[in-house]
Amino acid sequence: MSALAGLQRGLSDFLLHGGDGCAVGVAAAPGEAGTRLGIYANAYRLRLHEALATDYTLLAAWLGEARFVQLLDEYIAAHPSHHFNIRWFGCRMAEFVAGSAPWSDEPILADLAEFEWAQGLSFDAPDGPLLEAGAVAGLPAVAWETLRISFHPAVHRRDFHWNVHELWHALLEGRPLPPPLEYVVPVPWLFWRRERRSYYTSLDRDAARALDLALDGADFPAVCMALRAWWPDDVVPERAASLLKSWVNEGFVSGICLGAVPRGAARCAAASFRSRHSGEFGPAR
Amino acid sequence: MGTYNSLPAAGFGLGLRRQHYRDVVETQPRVDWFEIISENYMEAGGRPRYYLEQVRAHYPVVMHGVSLSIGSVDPLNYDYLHKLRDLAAFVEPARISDHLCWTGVDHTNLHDLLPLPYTEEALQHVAGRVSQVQEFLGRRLLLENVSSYLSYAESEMTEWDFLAEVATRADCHILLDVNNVYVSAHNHGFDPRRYIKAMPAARVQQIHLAGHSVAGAHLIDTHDAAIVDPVWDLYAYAVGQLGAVATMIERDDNIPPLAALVQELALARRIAADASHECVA
Repeated sequence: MSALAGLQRGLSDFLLHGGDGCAVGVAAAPGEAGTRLGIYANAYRLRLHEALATDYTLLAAWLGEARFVQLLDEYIAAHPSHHFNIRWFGCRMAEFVAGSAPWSDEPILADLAEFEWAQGLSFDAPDGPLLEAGAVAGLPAVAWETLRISFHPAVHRRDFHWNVHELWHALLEGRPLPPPLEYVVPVPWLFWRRERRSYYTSLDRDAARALDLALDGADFPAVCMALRAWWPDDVVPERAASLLKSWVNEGFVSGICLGAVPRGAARCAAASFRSRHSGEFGPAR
Repeated sequence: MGTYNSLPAAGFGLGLRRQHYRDVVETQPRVDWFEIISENYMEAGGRPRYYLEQVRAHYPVVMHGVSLSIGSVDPLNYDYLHKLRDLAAFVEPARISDHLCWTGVDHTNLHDLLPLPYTEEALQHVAGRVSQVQEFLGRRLLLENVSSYLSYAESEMTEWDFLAEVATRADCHILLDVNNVYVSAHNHGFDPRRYIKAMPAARVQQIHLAGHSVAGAHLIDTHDAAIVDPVWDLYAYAVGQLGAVATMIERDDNIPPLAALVQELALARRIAADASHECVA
C-alpha cells in the first residue's frame, strides 16, 4: 500500500469509526492533533445529520430531537455513504428503521420515512415527455391488444399502513401531530410531479392494482384481466379506459408502446419504457 | 443552449442557490455570471434544471463541483465524469472547477474536502488524474485550494508550491479561494500573502470569496457569513498580484436576500477596481 493510500485509509477509518487517529500522522504540537482531527470528525457527522434532517422532517417531528439524533447516529454508523452525491445518503432509512431495534418496534417509522422519501424522488426525478390528453382516444381496436404504457420518471407507487399523510399535513400546517392510526389494510398511494410541483394521492384498490401492473410493463389486456377481480366483465373495458384516460390527464404517462415486447419491434408514441423503480438515483435537491 | 455561449464569464459572479432562483429570473440583478454546484443539476429534470435553463438564458454560467475527489487513491469515478460531461454539454460553461482534495477512499464517500499530503507521490498522482479528467472532458479544469484544519507530518513542500506544481505538470488552471487561503493561513500559521504571491498568475482563472466562522483557536470555512475585512484586504492584494481575475462570492448557509449579496459583490467590484488602479499607478 502506498503512503498516500495508507494516509487516506487512516483518516477515513478515523472518521468512520473513531479512535485516536494516530495512523493519520497529523503534524501538530503535542495534544493538538486530536483537536484538529476533531474538526473533521464533527464536520462529517454534522454534514450527514444535516442531509438526513432535510430529507426526514416528519420523522424528526415524530421522534423528537434526542431520539432523532440517536437514530441518525445509528444510521450513519450502519450505512456509510457510497454515492458521490450526499442527496442519496438517506436512501435506506425506511429499510433501516424497519429492520433495526429499537426502531423496528415502532412500525410507523418506516411509513414516515417512506412517505417523505417518495416525495423527494418525485420532486427531483428526471424530466420526461408527457402524453397529450386524447392521444389514446383514436387508437384502433387492434392496438389495445398490445398497448403498454411508459410512465413519467417522477411517478412512484407506495403502500402505507399508517395515516402518515395526516401527520404530514399537520406538520406542514404547524399543528400538533395527530394520533397514529393503523389501517386494517394498507392504503395505496401515488406520488408524481407536474410543472415542477410534487403531488400525491391515495388510490382506489383496483386503480392501484392496474397501475402496479402497468408500471411493471404489463400490456393493456393483462391490466383488464386484473380488473375482473373488482368489476363484471362487461364493465372492465370501460373502467380500464377510464383509468388510462385519468393517468394521461393527470400527467403520469410519458408514452404508449404498441407491439409485442421484447422483440424490439414495438412502436412507441413517446419515451422509451421505464420500470417502476427508474429514477431512484439522481440529483441533489 | 443559451445566448451567452461565447462569453468568457469575466467580471463578478455569485453562486446560484435555490433560495434565489425566482429573484434571479424575475429581477435579473447586476451580476456578470453565476456559478452552479454541478452535482445539483446532473439529473435532467425538475425544478433545479428548469431554473438553470432560465438563468442560463440571461447569464453566463460556470460549473463548480465538489465530488471529483481528484486526490483519492480510488479509481476515477467515470459515472460521475459522464454526468459532468453531459451537464457541461447542456450548460456550455466558460469554466469547470473542482477542489484539490480527496473526498473518500475504498468507495466510501466522506462528503468533505479533505486535504492531501504535499508529497511528490501525491503530486504525481494528482497531476496524472487531472490530465485524465481533462482528456475526458476535452478542456482544462480549474482546481481550487481548500481550507484545511490539519497538515500531515509526511508533507515535503508547502501547499502553494504543491498547487502551483500540479497546475504546471497537469497544465490545468487554478481557482484561488482567497478566504480559504486566509483560513488555512490562520490555522497553520503561515503568511497568506506568501501563498498568493507564489501563484502562477496566468493559471489563476477565477477567485472565490466567502465568509468563515471562528471555532476556538481555529477558523472554519462555513460560507455562512459576510466576508470579513482581512479577507477583503487579502483580495485586494490578490488582485494587485494576479490582475483582474473573474471573482465570485460563495454563500451556502444563513443565506441572505439576493440584494444583500449583490451589494457585497459591488464591494468586490470597488476593491478590485481600486487594487487594479493602484497596481497600474
